Amino acid sequence: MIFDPAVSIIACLILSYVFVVAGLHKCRAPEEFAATLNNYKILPEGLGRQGVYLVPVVEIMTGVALLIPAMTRLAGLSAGVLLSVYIAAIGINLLRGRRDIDCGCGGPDQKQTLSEWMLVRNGLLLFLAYIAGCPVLPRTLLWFDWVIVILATLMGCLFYNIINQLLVNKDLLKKLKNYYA
Amino acid sequence: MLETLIISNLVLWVIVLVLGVMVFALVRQIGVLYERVAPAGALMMNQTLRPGDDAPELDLLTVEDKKIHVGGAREAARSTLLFFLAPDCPVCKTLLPVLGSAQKEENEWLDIILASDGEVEQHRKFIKQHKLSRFDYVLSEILGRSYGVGKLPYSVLIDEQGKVVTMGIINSREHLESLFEAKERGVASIQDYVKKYHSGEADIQTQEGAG
Repeated sequence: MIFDPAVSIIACLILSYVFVVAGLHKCRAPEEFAATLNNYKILPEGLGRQGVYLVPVVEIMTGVALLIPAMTRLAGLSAGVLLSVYIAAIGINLLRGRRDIDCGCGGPDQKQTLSEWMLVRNGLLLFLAYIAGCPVLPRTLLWFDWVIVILATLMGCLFYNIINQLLVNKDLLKKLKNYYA
Repeated sequence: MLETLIISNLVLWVIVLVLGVMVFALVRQIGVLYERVAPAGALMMNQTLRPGDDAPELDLLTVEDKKIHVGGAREAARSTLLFFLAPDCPVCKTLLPVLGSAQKEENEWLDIILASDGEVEQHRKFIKQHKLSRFDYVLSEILGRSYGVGKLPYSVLIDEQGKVVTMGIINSREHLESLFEAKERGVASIQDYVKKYHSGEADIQTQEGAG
């Protein structure tokens, strides 16, 4: 599919935000992330340790590459692969019934246990990665396009944060119910 | 005409953005609410100690170089309240007057010891600033660790035989009083209380009242 350049840029900017923030969170608390990675019980334990730095570095590189016009195709592909891996990892653990592990999406102060909603969220992000990876119409952007690009990007980042907070809230509410169960 | 449309479109964008920010703020507030509305008694989160265990015995020096002994049976049939705090913890500060009045009201059976760790000078200033010199104030990392203190402000109530009655995170006067209540009623924690006497959400209100 071919997309309008404005749409493509919006997708790139939102994804870039998501990946850079996620990568920085993981770098800030490598120990926690190591534990999270182990909890997924997908990689053999020795390999899990090396992923501790590999994942955030790839995430940040992808995030930065999404901002470079010449690299968006490649970065879109990389983002798509990362997101597909996450979807698979979360899906496998949901099937195993291990819902109580931290997803590792946010930082250490934003613990989210696994749920189907995460697949929906990552599915939406995957769609953005698809847009980023697709070719664009040859069209010059006017000033109004840029205004829309900025506003829509802000909105997208905001939505991402709202979804994350809702996922955190869901866990808090569950905990609250447990007190009185 | 086109210009009007552009302007109206921009205005709408701004409104959507502002609404988005508001939704985010609301969602955050709901999250905070879920966290705070949780049990009204002191929440017990401790892997090291359980109610009924012997409290770890330690010999400590207060900041005024007075020797005190924590844990173990006491001669005068008095209980001990360990209150863990830190000068840079805002909730702790709001509880200092509560501690003062608790010390007066429960004077007959209770001694209160304030516990923290870190730089002595910083704590001396804190004591002076908040007039805490009538409490025994100890600085000991080992104390905090052996009582399994994770979050502040935290409190442990030890009875006259040196056994842990109860403990928990203290965020309000009600939480502190719930510890004394626990001793009086023989219920170890708010979780216990809810389990024993209540089931179902309709009881949250009564439980808060009793907290």
